[in-house]
Amino acid sequence: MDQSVIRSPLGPSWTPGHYGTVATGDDGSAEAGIRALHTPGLLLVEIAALPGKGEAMRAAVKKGLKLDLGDGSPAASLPNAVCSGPDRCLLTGFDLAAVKAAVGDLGLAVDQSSGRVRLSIDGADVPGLLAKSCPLDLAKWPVGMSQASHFLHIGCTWYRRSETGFDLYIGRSFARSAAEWLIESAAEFGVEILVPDA
Amino acid sequence: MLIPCPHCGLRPSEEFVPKGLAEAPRPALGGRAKPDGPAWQNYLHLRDNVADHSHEYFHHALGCRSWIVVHRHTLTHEVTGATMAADFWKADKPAKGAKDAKSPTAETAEDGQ
Repeated sequence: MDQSVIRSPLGPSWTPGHYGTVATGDDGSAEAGIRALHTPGLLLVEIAALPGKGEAMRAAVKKGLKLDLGDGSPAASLPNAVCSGPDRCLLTGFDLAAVKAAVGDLGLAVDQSSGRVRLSIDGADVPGLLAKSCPLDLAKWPVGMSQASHFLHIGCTWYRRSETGFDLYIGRSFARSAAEWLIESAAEFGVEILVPDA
Repeated sequence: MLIPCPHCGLRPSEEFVPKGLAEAPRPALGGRAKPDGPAWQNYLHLRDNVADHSHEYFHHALGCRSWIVVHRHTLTHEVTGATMAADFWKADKPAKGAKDAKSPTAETAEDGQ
């Protein structure tokens, strides 16, 4: 019998449901100030250009993967291609072999599917949560901007998906700590852990 | 203290790990990879510790993970700029005792906050 157990990197506290304050909407239904979603099984590949090859690698990615990374700056990030550093980018939803084929010998492609998790948060009270956890002033971030910074003490790549929506890319071994803190800290606003799509 | 990361913009110093002076080039190894004693002794242990502008390595550990060279006055802690470490050694270093006009300052390193 297979004894292996697949555990979520977010730990047992990350269970779909409503936590903390319960606000009531106009129709009497419970409303959460923050909605949070973990996407399990996400394909994640980080690419990094070799010295001096950044522009050439971005051109190769544009040709091979149909992703326009612009000038490679944090402001040129895309929902599925988030700038994580100079001439570095986190791609989501692409197979490693396809990325390696596109990048060729212009850079390195490393599978991070088991190395990082992505948490998506959304809601009217997200600014209040970020004010407690992130040293950056999110009011200055345009939608589509990424920032490599930290979430509490945990290194994190942020991506602003919408006016109130952010993606957090966090190292897998820190994900449980981040998840537990997120639930506790967001309790004052009410947080709903969403069920991921099958 | 805020440090202008050339990639990320102005960031709090808590995101960085100081890694020592970038002044002295690493000494060459001696024959058969045996370290040259006095040169390595000086490189590892002796510092001028001047009250002046200095160039120091910092690792942006809680950020873009780049190695950068920060130009800082050791008396006032005024940070006049920062350069990618690789670029620092390619270009002429800023003159000691003078403000660095070449390195990105808050004008070029956009405020990431």
